Amino acid sequence: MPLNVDRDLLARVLRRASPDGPHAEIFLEHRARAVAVLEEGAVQEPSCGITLGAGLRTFGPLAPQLIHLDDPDEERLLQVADRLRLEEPEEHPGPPQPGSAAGRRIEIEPAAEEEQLLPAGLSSALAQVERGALDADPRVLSARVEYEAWRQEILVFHGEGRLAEDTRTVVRLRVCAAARDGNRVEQGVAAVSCPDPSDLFSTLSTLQLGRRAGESAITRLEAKPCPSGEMPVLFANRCGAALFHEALGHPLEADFLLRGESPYAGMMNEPVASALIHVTDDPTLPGRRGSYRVDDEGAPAQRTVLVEHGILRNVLTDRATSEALGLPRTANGRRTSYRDAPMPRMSNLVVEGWKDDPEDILRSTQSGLYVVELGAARVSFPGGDFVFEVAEGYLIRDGRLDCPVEGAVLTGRGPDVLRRIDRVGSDFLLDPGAGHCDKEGQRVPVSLGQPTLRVARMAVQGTTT
Amino acid sequence: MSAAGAEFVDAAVRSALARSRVAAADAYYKESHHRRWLVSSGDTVRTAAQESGFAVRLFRADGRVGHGSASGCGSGIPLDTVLDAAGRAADRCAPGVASLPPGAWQPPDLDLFDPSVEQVPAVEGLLLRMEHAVLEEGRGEVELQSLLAIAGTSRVTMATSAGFSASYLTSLVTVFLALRARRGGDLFFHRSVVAARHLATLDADRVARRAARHARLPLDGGVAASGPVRVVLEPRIACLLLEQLAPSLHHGAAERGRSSLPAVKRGESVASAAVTLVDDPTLRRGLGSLPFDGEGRPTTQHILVHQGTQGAFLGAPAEGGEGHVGAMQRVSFADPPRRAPSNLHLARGERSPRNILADAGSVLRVTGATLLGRGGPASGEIALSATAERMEAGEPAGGVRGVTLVGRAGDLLAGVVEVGNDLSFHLRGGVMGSPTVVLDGMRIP
Repeated sequence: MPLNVDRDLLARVLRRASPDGPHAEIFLEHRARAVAVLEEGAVQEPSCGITLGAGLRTFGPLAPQLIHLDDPDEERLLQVADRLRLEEPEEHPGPPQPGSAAGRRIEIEPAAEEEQLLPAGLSSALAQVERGALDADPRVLSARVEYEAWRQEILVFHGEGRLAEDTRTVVRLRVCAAARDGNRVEQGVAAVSCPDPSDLFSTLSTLQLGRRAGESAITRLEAKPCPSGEMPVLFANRCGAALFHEALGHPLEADFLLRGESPYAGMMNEPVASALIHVTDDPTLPGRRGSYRVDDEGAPAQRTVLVEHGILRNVLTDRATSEALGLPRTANGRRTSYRDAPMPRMSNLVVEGWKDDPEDILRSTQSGLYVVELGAARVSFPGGDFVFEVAEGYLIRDGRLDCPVEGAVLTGRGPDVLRRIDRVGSDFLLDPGAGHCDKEGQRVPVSLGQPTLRVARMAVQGTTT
Repeated sequence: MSAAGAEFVDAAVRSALARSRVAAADAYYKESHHRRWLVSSGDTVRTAAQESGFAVRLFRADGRVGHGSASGCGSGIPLDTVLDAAGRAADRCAPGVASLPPGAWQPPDLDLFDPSVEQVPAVEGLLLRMEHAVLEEGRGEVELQSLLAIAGTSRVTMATSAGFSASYLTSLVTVFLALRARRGGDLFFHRSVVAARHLATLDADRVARRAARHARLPLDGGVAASGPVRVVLEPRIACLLLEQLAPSLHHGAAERGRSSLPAVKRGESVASAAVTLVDDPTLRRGLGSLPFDGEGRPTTQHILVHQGTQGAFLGAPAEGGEGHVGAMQRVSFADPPRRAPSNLHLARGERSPRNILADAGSVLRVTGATLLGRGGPASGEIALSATAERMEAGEPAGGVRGVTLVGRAGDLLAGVVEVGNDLSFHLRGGVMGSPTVVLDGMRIP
């Protein structure tokens, strides 16, 4: 572990920040990150970056106060502790002089792991992805391949003397292919994520990833205008539970409830979805993008049942919201970096499978829309009204998939739509794990999983009647 | 700090050159200080933050380049560690990618720094005026959901192995207003963002009153009929559309399938004659202005579209001069330079919005909008979820709530009827500027 920390120093800093009791916390973070982009056959300027910092928080009668430091050293940590003790978080001690040697640092050891973030075979692997996309169809013009890997070490030290550590590695490969047919141009995207760079780089998987993006672009090229109207909508297991992420997951983050912005306020142990729906948030899943051993407040990760047979059972909390609402702490306090305050966030959102044969769900749907991939979404609170772009969808005719469609937008109100789920398949699938969630300017990695399911009736805004 | 920063980047360049296989190097150091005020539910939470970081780029003789970076300023994460990282990155780079760094030259002063942005009473006075203006204009139906202000300064210092060494200071104040309009069971939200380099240029009262008026519009709003519609876009709404068009302005975008505009050559028609699109990193006090770019090179204004005719493409070789069209920019110290527009804007027209609206007949004036993700950026389909106001011969004729407007990018550029003289700039994933725009080519599905 690269972080080499004097724990006595940390304890002194916390006692200085909160002499009246154990109401303080230090979050230390070391992160190594590598990025490379391949475009037009060449890897453009790759980048390796390292960040090291500390976020110091105190918890008093007011909202938690936070000050963060780049390049933490003893003197400046103690200065920060003084500012927090005096409740002057708007006074920042400032940086050390550039290039100066600061005293009693938080040290990092040379990280052999950083070399693994930019492995030797990277350039040829990215070229393989591009090749896969271009070979998918002669109409595919170009592909842009993006590689990102980071390794994060965190240490959370509490005034109570508790120490928690975690190491997280996230690697993501994303390809965007562009295809043209006459005057029409479309793009298709495919992405995959895993906990180790070497997992990405078998020739077969890189070619397949590129091909998937190319084929997605072609599907969109061949898509017809989508009709508008109310209709049954099937969500394939490849959808990755994006609907649940927006319509259920976010409104069940406790800070929305605290602000009166959740449509599920006051509904604990009440029905909020179809009785077929069982949803959990689970950061303990091995190797998933949203997984962790402890959250960013040092609480041990736990699986939380959010909805059980349609009944609301829990919400996602961090320390502050758990105390404010008098609810159990679910260890969902997450932050983008040491520069940010944690807030309740999802990790790996799982919509459990049920019994139905997915083929039978399709056969039993006379007409409607089959959604394979959802795109951009907007949700407004507290009503839970949403707007979802359908990135890849197909018309259903006579219980079979018909042509791909374009321009479909799903609208509705989250709680209403979840109640209208009438079929849930047995084909649960976790997404390729390349997603992230943005909330109030903070981005965290997440993953999602669901089976095929059907909403009996939804409003689809298309481009034809 | 300026002298220490300059010494640091100079030392970083010297250390980089001492490494094997390094033909050239540049070093970049950025330090930022800001204060933040969050006003919500009658409380104000004040915080301060400081961020710093540096980056070194190593250039090899075969045109490979690698970028290494670290937070802080070389004490917690040693320079050697960052140079090792940059070397690893260069090993993975394709040959022939990079141009060598520039030599010495003197950057201009673009008046990007206002010391009053660091004065707490000045900023807090501005926020107080905004709060009062919202309450007055809101007439009991509009409340402040939250007001977030971030005011701070940054210093960028760069040096190259060819002899360039310079630094510049910037200030920025950004205010995010979130308003709620409520009448009976109806509840609507309105968000707006304003930013400026100099505090005095933020007309707090005008901005807040306009936001409150726009927030209240949907309370009286009806439903708009389907069909084609002439719209009048407020500057910040026009900037939202401009942001969608920006990727299409790059050299080769059409050939690579990444343009939402028709493939045209320089000198061909691409828009209506009312459209002149300019990329200008040299604007004094500009939100996106750069005295030198992310590689230490001079920045230049370029005309991308002149009265409807295609001009320069971003990234294309610059005509009659050195380098390429558009500045290389660093989003942060952790990101290598990438070519991007800066102060991209529609040039202003002759007439005021009031005069334009008086002559425009029946129009829908769009006062708030969010982008719907219909289609992809290359497909050119643009859809907005908007709040708007019907206007008849320049007079308000009723609000409209929740209208969807769709159009195609190429049609919209051709459909610009007139632009106003009220050019303003806005933060939109980069800096975009526009005056009021009268536009044909959108429809309500």
